[in-house]
Amino acid sequence: MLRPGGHFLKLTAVFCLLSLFTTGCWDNREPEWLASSLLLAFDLDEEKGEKMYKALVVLANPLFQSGGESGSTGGGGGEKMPFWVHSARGRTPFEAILNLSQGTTRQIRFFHTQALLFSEKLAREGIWPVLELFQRHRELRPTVQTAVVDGDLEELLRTEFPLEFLPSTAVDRLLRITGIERSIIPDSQLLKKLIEFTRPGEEMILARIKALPQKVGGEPQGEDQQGQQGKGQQGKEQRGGNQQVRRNQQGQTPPGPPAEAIGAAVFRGDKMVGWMDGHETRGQNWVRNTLQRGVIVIELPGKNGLAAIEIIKIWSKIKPRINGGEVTITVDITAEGRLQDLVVSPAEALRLDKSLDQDLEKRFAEAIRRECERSLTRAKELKADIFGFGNAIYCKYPRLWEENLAGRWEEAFSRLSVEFLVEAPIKRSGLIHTSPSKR
Amino acid sequence: MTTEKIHNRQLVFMLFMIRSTVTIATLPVLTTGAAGQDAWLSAIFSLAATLLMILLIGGLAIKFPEETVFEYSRKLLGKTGGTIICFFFLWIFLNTAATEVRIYAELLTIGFLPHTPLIFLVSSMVLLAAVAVSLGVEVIARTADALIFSYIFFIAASLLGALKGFDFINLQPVLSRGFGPVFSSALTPAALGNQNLVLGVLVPTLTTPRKAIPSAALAALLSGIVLILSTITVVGVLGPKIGSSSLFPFFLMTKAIEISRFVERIEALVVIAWGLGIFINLSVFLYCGARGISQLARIRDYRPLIGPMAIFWIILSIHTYDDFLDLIKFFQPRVFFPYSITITVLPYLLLWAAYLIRHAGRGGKKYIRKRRIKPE
Repeated sequence: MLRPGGHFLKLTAVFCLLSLFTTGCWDNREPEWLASSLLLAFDLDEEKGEKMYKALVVLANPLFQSGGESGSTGGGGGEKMPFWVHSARGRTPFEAILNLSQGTTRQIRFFHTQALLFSEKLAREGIWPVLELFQRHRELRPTVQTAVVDGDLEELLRTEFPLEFLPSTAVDRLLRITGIERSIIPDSQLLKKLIEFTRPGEEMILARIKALPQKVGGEPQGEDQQGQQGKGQQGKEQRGGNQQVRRNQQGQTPPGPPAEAIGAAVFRGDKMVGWMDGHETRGQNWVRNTLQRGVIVIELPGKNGLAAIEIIKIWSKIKPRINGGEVTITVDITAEGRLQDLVVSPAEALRLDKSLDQDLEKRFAEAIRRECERSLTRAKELKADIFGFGNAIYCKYPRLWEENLAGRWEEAFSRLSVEFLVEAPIKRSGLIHTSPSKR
Repeated sequence: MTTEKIHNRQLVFMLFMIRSTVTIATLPVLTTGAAGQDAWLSAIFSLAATLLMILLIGGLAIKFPEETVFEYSRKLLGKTGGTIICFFFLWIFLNTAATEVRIYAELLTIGFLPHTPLIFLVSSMVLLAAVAVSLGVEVIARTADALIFSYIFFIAASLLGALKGFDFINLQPVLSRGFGPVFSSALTPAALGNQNLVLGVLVPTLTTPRKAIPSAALAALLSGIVLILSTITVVGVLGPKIGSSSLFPFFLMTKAIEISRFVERIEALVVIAWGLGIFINLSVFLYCGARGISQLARIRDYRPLIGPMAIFWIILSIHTYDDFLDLIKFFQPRVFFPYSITITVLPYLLLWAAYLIRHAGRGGKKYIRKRRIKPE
């Protein structure tokens, strides 16, 4: 039957010819029938006393053409918005995202989803069903960026981000860039959150995106500052219709940022219990060794002035210890700083010498320690061990954890004594070692 | 009888691909037992068990360097006993390969082609293997030669890509619950060492059969390293909880890889590597099964059997398991371990006993020496 030779070649030829008639796969779909989801957001809604998940999706508009929209080109493409926000409800997250299609003219594909947002209301009710969907669903992946929105979720998705076409790109980049530059939000990759959730003795902490109310009607602004791109954008916005309520009208001030990534939403289990501000969140990043970059401003010793120290490198480790039957935690933090600013009046030009450097180092370390303490206090208030102290104990003393602490960690955490040992050398001071003086 | 010869290197490649495919498929050390973060220890135990299995199977095979297990088992245990044992082995060839291809088809249905009928996926894989088998074992071996580099590259790329998301804390605490859970996780992978049964058929086709055991051990060692590294990486990236609750942990791990903003979605590499492995797997098992049946039925050439066997295989692969829950249940240690031991290890112990009794009684040492010298 399948022997090499004539039959085999003939069979192969026949199959090759047959393949011409099967264009594409089993379920071939033309790209014209598809729309890509770029961002998924979930909110909670009530209907007749029943909890309903509300899924919001940002769909990329394939008809949108960037650049060719200033009226003269005509054509269908220029008229369209770059994206479309659509929402639907369902009793489970999956039903909700499937229900999206009843108002959509194209089949929604989720392969390109970049970000996942939660409303505060849903976060307080529990987000695990959504997180589970992201593990189970074949098109979604756990590499997306995720955050909880403080403010109106739907309006955030509909607003224009000055530098981006799409709110999904905006959210994705906002989270990544803020994480890298300021470290005032926790690591926002979904996979990390899933792992935090599954680890014993650790609670989830999601980034917080604060939707900022936008001023409608500001001062007119010159066109040259707006630029060609901006003009086109605004023309489009008007045509975009009244759905874009908060859009600025032609000739008005370009809006401020529609959203800021700052702080974090702290969870206990899968339910959100409270917010943390930027400092408290950075304290958490210090402890968990997830800090990437940031700046700490300290007062100059003995002088009226400020110094800004940029955090360059950080290393930290949580070390549990048993002291007379009681578990205590020591957190070793080593941070390398770089002096970036010396704000003093030129009259008292400062000589940067060894002793001043040591003073600065001391204050730098103290500032770090205070930030960590502040974060700990807030976490204890919320009864959520976002640092993974419990997990560190579980890793080092698994027996003790299973027998004694696992069941009552929430309460034990609020009485846990934690010591922060900070070493913070400042080794470099930018391109000048000291302020050049006038004399 | 056979003139087809394969090099020992090719045997190493074939066995390596067969064994590693299990790793990148379901990673049984993590998904079947309760070891959790200690799964890498289970992997070490299962490697040791596999080596024992190779000694058991290969040790007998090199005593008969010119005969397949289907021939010498009837010599050792008599016609009836030998034939019964041979049916056990045939069943393993049949069932293992049918199960593996079913798992691969399940992955494709779950992850990529939700509407494609299972029978289409299974039969395309099996028919491909059937073509390879009809061309002979040399062709399969050379295919392994050709595929091994891309296979290793794909796996290595996935493992390296995952390093960015690796978190050592996920592997702690070590041995917090003692060795019990570790053993529970090692049972199924150890029992999967019965894939080395192919040695019983492949050793006579080797160019140097007496080196079969080092070759097989090398393959086991290499695939054991892949297993240990994969286990550590998967647990380090996904954590023990998510890893052990997933159907295809290695695949899920690669899905979570994001090398940079633009280099992600490298799970395709795993699926390709897995497909290559399944192809070698199916070809070798189909070859062994066909050889076995032809020798039992005293048919000179095994090739006419391939067509019917392939059809039978497709049907078996689809009808043995109603859904993936059956598959999970089948691989649970308390099901799979006794099953595999009963139909692999026990028959081999019987064969060994018969061999030792026969040859110890009649000056077996001389016999062994004679047989050993012959191939040179």
